Amino acid sequence: MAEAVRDPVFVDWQLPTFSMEERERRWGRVRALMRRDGIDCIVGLNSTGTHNRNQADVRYLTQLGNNCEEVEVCFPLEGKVTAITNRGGYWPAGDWVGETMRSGRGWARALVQCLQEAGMQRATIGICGLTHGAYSVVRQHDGYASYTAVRRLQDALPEARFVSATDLLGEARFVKSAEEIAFLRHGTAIAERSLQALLQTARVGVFEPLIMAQMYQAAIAAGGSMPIMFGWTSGPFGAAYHRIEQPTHRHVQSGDYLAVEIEGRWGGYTAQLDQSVTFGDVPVWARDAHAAAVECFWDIVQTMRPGVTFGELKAAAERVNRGGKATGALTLHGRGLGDDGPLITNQSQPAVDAAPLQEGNVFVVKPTTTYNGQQDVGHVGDTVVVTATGAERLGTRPIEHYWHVD
Amino acid sequence: MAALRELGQQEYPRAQDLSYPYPRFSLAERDRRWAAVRAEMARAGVDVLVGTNNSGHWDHWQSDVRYLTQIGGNNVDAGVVFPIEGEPTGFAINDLYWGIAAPFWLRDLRPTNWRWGEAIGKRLQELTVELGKPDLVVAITGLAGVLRAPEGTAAWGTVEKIRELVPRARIVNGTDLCRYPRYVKSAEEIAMLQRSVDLIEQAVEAMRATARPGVKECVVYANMIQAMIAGGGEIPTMLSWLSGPWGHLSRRLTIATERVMAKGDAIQNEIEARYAGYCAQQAQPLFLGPVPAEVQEMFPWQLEAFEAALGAMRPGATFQDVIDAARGVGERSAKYRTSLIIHGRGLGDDWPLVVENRAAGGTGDLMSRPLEASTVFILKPSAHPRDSDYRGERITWADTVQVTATGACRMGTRPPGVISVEC
Repeated sequence: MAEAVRDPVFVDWQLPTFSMEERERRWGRVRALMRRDGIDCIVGLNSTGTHNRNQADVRYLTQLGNNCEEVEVCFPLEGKVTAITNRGGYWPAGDWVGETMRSGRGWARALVQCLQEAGMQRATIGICGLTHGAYSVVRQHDGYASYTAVRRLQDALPEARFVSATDLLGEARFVKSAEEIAFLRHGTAIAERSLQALLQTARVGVFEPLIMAQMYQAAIAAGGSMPIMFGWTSGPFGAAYHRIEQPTHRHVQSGDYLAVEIEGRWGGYTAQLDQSVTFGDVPVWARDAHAAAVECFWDIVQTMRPGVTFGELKAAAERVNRGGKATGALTLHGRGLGDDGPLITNQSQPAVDAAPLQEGNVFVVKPTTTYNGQQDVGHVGDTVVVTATGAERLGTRPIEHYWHVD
Repeated sequence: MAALRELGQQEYPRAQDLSYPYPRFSLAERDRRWAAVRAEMARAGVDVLVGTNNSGHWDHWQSDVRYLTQIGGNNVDAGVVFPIEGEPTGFAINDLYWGIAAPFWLRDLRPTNWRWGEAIGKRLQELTVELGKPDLVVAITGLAGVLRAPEGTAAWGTVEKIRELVPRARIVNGTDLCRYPRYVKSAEEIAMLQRSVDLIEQAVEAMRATARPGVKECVVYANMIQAMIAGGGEIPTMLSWLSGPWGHLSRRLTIATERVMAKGDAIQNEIEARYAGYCAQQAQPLFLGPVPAEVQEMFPWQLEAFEAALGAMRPGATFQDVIDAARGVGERSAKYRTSLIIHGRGLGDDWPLVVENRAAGGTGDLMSRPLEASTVFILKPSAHPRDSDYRGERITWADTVQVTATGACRMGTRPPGVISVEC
């Protein structure tokens, strides 16, 4: 087993870090898939878009890339793995790769140098994020790899063959290790701290951004990574303004509904919980609308186990009825380092219905329900891991509880 | 072309209308911007400017799109097709994402369903007909030469799809087209930047109130972010962080770790806050306990360099004049040297960029251009020991400054100096 390579100077600034055993597991798995697919080297370009999700593959292989810090990786089938950063040097959580190569913002130039030194002039090179996939890069149909950087790689290595590494990395990342699940459990705990901050702050008359501010404070103070995504649906119960990712400059009013998708990040690993809250004068059936969302959540989670298909989960989500008042639909996507698949929503229906769940998959389960024909009247979700015999919530909050603030 | 919406129209009739309070710009501001960019397009012989989605680098990479559409914030992906005449089109993933401000500017808002190249390419096909020009000159901003991303920010798949859908179009780099219009700010833009400065100063107060021995660095960082959002600021925002005992500060990070602070520690930083997308910046050093003697000796040189650079900033002066003013202060010291970082402030990655007295990135003809009124910069000179290049051994206090017709002024109000927390 290789030794961790720590920063020899700055030893006191540490971030959550995986073991060297985890590195060997990941690198071994990815290299086995590279051999299977005939790929000699994988390159990940710097891309910090979409809440840093676009750099998930690079982080998976290097652990580097906090809060929009740009990182590249050159990952050959054999030999030295090189991480590239703007300023070079050592970085917290950089145990796996040690000293990084300096790009000086010449990202393609640095990668070309690595590839040439590794003898990849006629190799098959997989580029992370070149295309869309079912299990990674699930939100960007055009991929995210930079046009000019890709062209410069092609120009510098005209005899190399460039292919997309999206599916390969998606496959590798789909099943999580025990260490990854521990990170996601910690991420869920951070999300629960944010929820607690919301519940302590949200009152009639409160400036909505103040609620979000307290949630961010709770997450970062707990050591959480940035950036974090919060989906925010607020407004009058049954007529809330649609989901946005930051609150308007509105004050909470009696009769309001607030539903939040709360990410919690630990070492870059992103868990999620969803929770709705009502305020003041809302219909008496608001409690049952929330109960319908909870019922739908459990219908899905209790169906989850290895071998069950995503199609079966969709059917389970549709079971909720509550005397003809409620409907349910599956909303689910992978959780991990970012843009994990599959992404199943009312607008995203990847062809995965027949695909089976596997032990070690982690998803956020956050069904879409209606009650009395209305959306946005009750909502819950949580991060769930598929175990050998079923599924386990990573969250610990009482998900059945109907949160109402008078 | 699809039917156009009325400005201010709500796409969700069942929901509340667009009167939800949210900062946005006037129609006059829209028209001013669009005219300025179209003048640049005409000079460059460009028929259509395209902005593609990339919310990287704290949303900075999408600043041209937001400048033209008001779509964006908190990593919301956005795009634009902006013809030299006719109706501009704004793009978001779906109708949940174009937000509250954009419908007041754009009558043509379209969902991409994450298929950016396809949506943009189809609009370009329409424009081929509308403009009666099968060989459109299409400039893509972010194709290359972005200030801090010289290899560009546009995705390979998006550009290839556009090429496929409009094969006769001539695709050129459009990164420069918004650069100069964005450089000179309107009163409305400066007002938003002032709100950003105010939020930063609230974050500085949060740092001063929280940083104590025994407190985790991440708690201080958390309270600074809290102050910004609570005041109506946007996320993501860049807050860089160097910390530790003076003489042994960490490298520059973009998040604080869980390290516990101790007496004798220092924090150096660059603090951005975003308001309606606009980000000013300040830097405010803080010490737990007495300010070290070396810093007390070095800081007056830094402050003098700041004042000298500020004094040199007036319409007609060159950036070289400003650099020389800051650098010249340190030339009188045997122990310390002074250097200048200055860059534009606005929606992100604003032109120009001077680092360590030199034009950097895609700054182009910066050094030959005179300064103009209504421009806004972060002015952050540093003082360093003469024998050190290490960032953690320099001292930097900085503020956002505005160039007016008669000279430059600070936009912040906190007193110049290093903060010493008694402990």
